[in-house]
Amino acid sequence: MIQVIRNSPRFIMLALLVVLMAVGGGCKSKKKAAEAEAAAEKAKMEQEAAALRKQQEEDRKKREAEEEAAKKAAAAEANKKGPQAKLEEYFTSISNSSNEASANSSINEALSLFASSDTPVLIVIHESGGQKDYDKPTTIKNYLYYLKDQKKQADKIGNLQFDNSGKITEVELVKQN
Amino acid sequence: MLNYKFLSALSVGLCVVSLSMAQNPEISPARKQAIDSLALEKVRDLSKYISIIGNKKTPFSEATRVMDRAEELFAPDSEMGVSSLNRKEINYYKVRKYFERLMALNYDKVTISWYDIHYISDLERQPDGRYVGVVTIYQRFEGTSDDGLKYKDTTKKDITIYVEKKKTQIQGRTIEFWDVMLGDIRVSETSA
Repeated sequence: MIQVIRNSPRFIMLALLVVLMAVGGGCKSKKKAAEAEAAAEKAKMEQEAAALRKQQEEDRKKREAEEEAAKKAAAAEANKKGPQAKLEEYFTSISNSSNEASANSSINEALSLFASSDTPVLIVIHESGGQKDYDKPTTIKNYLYYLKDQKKQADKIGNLQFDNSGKITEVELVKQN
Repeated sequence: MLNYKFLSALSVGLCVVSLSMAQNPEISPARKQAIDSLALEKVRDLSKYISIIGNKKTPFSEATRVMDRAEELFAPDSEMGVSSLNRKEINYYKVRKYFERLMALNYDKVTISWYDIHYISDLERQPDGRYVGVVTIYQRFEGTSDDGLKYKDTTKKDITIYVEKKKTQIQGRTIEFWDVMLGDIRVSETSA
């Protein structure tokens, strides 16, 4: 019987067909599996990118919130101190501002300490035997914007003059070499 | 007779000394150092202003405000030299025009930095009472377009510095100050 089956061409053809179908089916399922794997990988990457973006956005918001809180704390602290300490706080805040809005906000707050935005600022570059050498005088508004643009440490406050309402009418700074 | 000769010699000597002091009044080394430093600081300030004006992220209104401040550093009619690796000649523009051209450069990203800022000619008192010196700087320029095109060069520039003692009235008081002004900025070398 076995010999009959083995010798039958029909049987051989049938067996070959079964083998081919089995192999073909296997390839299709492998391709499907690869596609599914790629899709899963893509989805994973997209999820990771979205998570990274979200994290960066959260970090940025956190940084801004911290900066704003520090600024408020500095302003609150400065309020407890005298005008010179307040002004020093504003100088530092403007020089160290990481963004334009924050710097402009500090400039506007600082200007409220002055009788006018044109309040003169004298900068001593050298002093010897009671004789002072000055840089070209400027105004407080220009000086505050100068700090914002140059992002450099402000000159040391040497003297402040006030009007009757406690507003600053003149600033003398001393350049630190 | 001896006394007469001595007094004559002394009076001639005093005249010479007072004339020479009038022409070149003494400035102590510390005071001179402070003026030198002030002038260098103005050059560094200009460097920062130029990088802000050139930066494509700077809003137009900010760039205009900074241009005004930068222009104040210069003596009237001062010119800025501009060179390129792509041409031999050096073009000179009034500083305001230079800033406006810098702001309008056709790149998507521009970075400009100045370094190695130093005097090549010390501030020296001139017969008109002004002090004049020359400061050299190196400027690194990089302009990049979104399509990947990039131009970069390094330029050595010489800046004439003028320092003059002036007076002004502040709240009814006369204040003497040192006015530092930048003059022409001339290109002396350009390399890749």
